Amino acid sequence: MHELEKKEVDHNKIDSRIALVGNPNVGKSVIFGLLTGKYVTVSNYPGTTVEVSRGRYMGANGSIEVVDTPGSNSLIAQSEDERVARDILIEGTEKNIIQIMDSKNIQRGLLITTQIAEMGLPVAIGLNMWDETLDRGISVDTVKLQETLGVPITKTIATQKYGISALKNSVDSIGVPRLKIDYGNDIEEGIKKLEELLPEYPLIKKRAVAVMLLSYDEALEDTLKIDAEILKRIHSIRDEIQKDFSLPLSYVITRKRNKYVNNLLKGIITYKVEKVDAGMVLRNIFFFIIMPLFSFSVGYKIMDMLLFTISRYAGAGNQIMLILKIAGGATSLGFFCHYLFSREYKTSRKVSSIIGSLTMHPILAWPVLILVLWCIYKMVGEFGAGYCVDFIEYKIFGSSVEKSGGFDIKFLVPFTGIEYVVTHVNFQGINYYLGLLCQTFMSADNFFFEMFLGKEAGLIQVGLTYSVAIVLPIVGFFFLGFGLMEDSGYLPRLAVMLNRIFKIIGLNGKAVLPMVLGLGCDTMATLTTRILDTKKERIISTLLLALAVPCSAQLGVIAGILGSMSGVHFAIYVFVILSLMFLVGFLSSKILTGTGTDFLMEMPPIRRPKITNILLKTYYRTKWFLKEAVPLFLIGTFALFVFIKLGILTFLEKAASPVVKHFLGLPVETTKGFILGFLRRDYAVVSIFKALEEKAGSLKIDPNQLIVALVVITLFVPCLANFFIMIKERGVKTAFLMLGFIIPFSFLVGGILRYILRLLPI
Amino acid sequence: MHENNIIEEMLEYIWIAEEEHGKAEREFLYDKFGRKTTDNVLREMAEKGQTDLNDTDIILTETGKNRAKQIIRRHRLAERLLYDVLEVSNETFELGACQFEHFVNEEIIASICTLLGHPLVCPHGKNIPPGDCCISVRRALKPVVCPLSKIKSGVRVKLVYITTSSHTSLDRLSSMGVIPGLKLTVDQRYPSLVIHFGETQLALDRDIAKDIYVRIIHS
Repeated sequence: MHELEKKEVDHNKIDSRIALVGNPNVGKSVIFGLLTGKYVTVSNYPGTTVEVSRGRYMGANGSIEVVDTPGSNSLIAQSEDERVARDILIEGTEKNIIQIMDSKNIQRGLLITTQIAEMGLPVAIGLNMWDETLDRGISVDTVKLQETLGVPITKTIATQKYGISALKNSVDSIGVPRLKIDYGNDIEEGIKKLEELLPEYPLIKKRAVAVMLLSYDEALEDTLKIDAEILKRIHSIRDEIQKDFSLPLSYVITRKRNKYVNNLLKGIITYKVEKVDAGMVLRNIFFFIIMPLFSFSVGYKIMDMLLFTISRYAGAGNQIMLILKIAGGATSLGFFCHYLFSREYKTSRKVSSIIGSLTMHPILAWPVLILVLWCIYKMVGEFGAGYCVDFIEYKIFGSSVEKSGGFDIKFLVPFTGIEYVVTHVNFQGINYYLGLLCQTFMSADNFFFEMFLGKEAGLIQVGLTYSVAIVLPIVGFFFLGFGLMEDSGYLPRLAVMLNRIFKIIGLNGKAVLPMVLGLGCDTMATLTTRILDTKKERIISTLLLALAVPCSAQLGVIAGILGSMSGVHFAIYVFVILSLMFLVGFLSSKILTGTGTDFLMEMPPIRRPKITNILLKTYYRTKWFLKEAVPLFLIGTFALFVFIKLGILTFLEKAASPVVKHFLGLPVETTKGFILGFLRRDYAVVSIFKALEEKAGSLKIDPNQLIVALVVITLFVPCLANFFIMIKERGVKTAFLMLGFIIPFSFLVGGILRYILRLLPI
Repeated sequence: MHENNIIEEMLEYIWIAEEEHGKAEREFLYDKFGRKTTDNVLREMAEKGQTDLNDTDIILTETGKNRAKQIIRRHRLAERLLYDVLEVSNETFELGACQFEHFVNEEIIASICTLLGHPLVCPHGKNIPPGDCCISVRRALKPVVCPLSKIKSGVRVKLVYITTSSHTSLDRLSSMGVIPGLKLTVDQRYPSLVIHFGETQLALDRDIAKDIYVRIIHS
């Protein structure tokens, strides 16, 4: 997810260093990008900068290296990423700091500034999101603030690239903030005592270390490698002071800081309480046109989907269906409008904050969620996984031995259904031409031809073609949708809605990010589990991702197949997968030791996403993904090739076929599909579907068989790439334990499901 | 003249018997206090005009009822204080409350009641008879201290104190600026609690919110 520069930086050339610090979500990464011209994945979900990026720019006095740190609310580390940020300041060679603040939330930024002042590090401050401050009628007397602090302050709007060069220049007049907090006699005495015990540090003042140690910062003791004997004395001093306070010292200290900052800001920040009349037209358009249309279509669509599931039994005519759909739309329209006009219309709240609370509303948020998911499915599942994949796979790459037949360039005339063909392109596919080229000097059954262009496991024909033809469209479109959800601020709100449900399975709302990302690609999602706070949460989410979350490649194919069967079967499939996810999550949260964490998350405001930012983000994520996944696909394909050549595949097929045939009740031919599933989850689906189709011949496929097969393949092993990442992130032992659980479990579920389905009158 | 304490104990007992069984019978009292003491004390109470005596049932007069109500109130408020604030363990807080009820005066009880936010029920779930302070609160809608998780959406509150036992939650909250004195607004309660203060919007678990005590601000 992160663009990491692994090149060794030439240390001789760097004249000075700067660390970027700030609260989460204030735009550090955007500013980092603007300063250095380097791209870091920017998102407004906290915890996205898990790793540290470095880059540099040419300042007035030579080249300056910039380090981007994860956002933190305090330099007293409470989580892994906050520790990273703090340790960079203490350990690294960076001497200067640029602190980025959200100018709407200067109080919280200054809490960090007081800590930097304590450390004695020079800082320049960038007040970012200045435009939002103006919008909200908050005025900040920056001149006065600059005088009080004694450090340069620059107003910036990172998304519009405003104030960046001023920020660059302000580094020259950098200074240590003139802030000193008196923590009261008891604590001050303790600080003095600690200062006597501590050695001198090259970068930071002892006072800062003393305060952090009094705040129970145990990670710091580790970082500074304090002598055990001294540490003992420090602890006894700390415990002695703690006796005078009923609340933890860390809390007492932070309260002092808060109080100090609030006093400091008196007269600097003023809030204008004035009604903003601007945008009245837009507001009315929102209330009278956009929302009614939107809510009507939400209801209409949901009713449509509902009818689709029961269509086989309802037997209702088209007219009744239409009436029902319109009724659904009208109901939803009624509810939404009732809410909007009774609660929001008369208030002077901004449209964006109304949308913000609508997306977290206990009832109305659910239909919104369904519609959002449906849109993403349309874009990723149908357009991406269906149309684009078919086109790239069969037309662009094609087959090494057969002609693809070319394709037409055409466009649709809207609403008429008329297709206008511009021209026919007689392109037979890259693989076909490669095949032709190779066949000039070797035959099609040559060993090397099979290795690279073979139909079963050729490195180019299968490995490369699939990774590019599948990954590029599906993952690309998914990241596009994901980026939209992220940048608009919808994703954190999803966490609010799902928190309670996630609590049942031992996670909290924060885990929404890896889970939703898992619908795109489980491999990437497994990497993102790092943002979770405890080991227990990381293990549970990794297991659930590998077991029950189908990735977009798989989901696209499954939805396509089931969608063509019947709605009921689709509903059964979804129900089985979801309930297993809960069951396994619930049980593992009971079995695993360790604690979960309470949910506490900041909500960024709903914003109109910037399309360039999303495209850029999608581009970098896809590129990152290709870089990670393509080699794995190639390795996997090669392994498959070796398996085929050595006859191991046939052996495995024979060994597994009794289970498949007698327990799952599926034709033996599908066994190969299950084994291939390890290489590519969606390919397994296709090959099983094909096997079932051939078996059925002219008859229709038994839908029960199909559901069993699809459920097993969804639960069944994660793909090879995912498994590698599991080993990397969770360790060999845990990864194999998970695999050892998943494989028998998926077959067991399939077998049980087969017998249950037999009993149901479907 | 019997000691005040025994009269108080008996009044309390009669009240509870009425609360639980609808009436207080002489037999109940014999079991608890012994035949002789009961008869003596009851006679004294009747002289003071606190009870009407007939053969088996004991009925409190208006004076007796008021007196008993005060004692019950003291006892149950004391339970709340010991249980919630001082965190005295289950076995001992009951005993403590029994001793407590005899030596506190009405003024102190009113302060305790206000401190606790005029609770309606005792830790066992029985009703606490309202005192003057509670009634005036209801009339004047004075500020009440209660957990953030109980606040309705749209209400503006001021943070009074945080009692979380978890260091991490406390540190995380305070470093975001959630400290006593902070004025915040509850945006919604379901599906998760969402609050905002200044320009920060925060979503949090009920588990954290129930440890944050706030006072409603009327403005």
